[in-house]
Amino acid sequence: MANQMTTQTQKSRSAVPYETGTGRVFRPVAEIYETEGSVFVNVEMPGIDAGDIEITLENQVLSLRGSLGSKSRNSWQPVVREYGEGDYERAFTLSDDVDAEKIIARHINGVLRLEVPKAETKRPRRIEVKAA
Amino acid sequence: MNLMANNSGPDPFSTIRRLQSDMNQIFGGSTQTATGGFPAVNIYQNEDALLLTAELPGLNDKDIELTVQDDCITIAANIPVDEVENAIWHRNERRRGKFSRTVELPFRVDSEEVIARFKNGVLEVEVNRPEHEKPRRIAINN
Repeated sequence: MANQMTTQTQKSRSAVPYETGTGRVFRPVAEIYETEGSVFVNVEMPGIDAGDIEITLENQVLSLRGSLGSKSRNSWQPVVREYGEGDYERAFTLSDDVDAEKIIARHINGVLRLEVPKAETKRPRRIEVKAA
Repeated sequence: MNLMANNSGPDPFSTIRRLQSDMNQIFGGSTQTATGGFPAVNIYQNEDALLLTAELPGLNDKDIELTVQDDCITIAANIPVDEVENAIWHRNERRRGKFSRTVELPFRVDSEEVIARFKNGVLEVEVNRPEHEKPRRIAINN
């Protein structure tokens, strides 16, 4: 499982974002860890509403997209701009031993938290050694 | 503190700002009052107020300590690590630990005039300008 999960893009959050027709797109920072039963993927998408996050899984590629929409601060004049705002996009390749149907997604305080349960058959099993 | 090197770019005040930042680090511990530091902030203004925004994903509004003194606003918090038993980590890009950042505003801040909001991991601090600091339109007499 460890090496089967890789990122597709390698730009950092602080790198110059690329432009699309609709605005800037950032690669959000992520953390990935796994327990015996699940893989946890947490991705930072500050400023994005839960309803504007799109999660798709196709051919083992888990694609995450957050759209900022039109939350511009039009009535304000920018004075200092240390960080940029825009959409977020990142994809991860999952190993095939996950229960895609059972992925749980929550967006809490700007962090998209995905729990991806491993398929029952692929979970490590502890075999008890019985004394004869 | 090298004032000549790294002084590229069109901003004529960058040296002064860097000097101020260096001084603040020397005399004020780890807090920073000039540009740079964590969290990154954006500042906006209109006639009545200033708006300071910062991205702090993963924190709760109760975790963030916002203090106001004279013309400075300080944002401080501790970003904890997810405590998961027997977890195998594959990727860990998120920032953790304690931070504190002080931002100097162009006027004295009255704590009564500060409204702070925290939504989807974004902190918004709106500071009303004191009445005497507001821009005034001057009528020209014929």
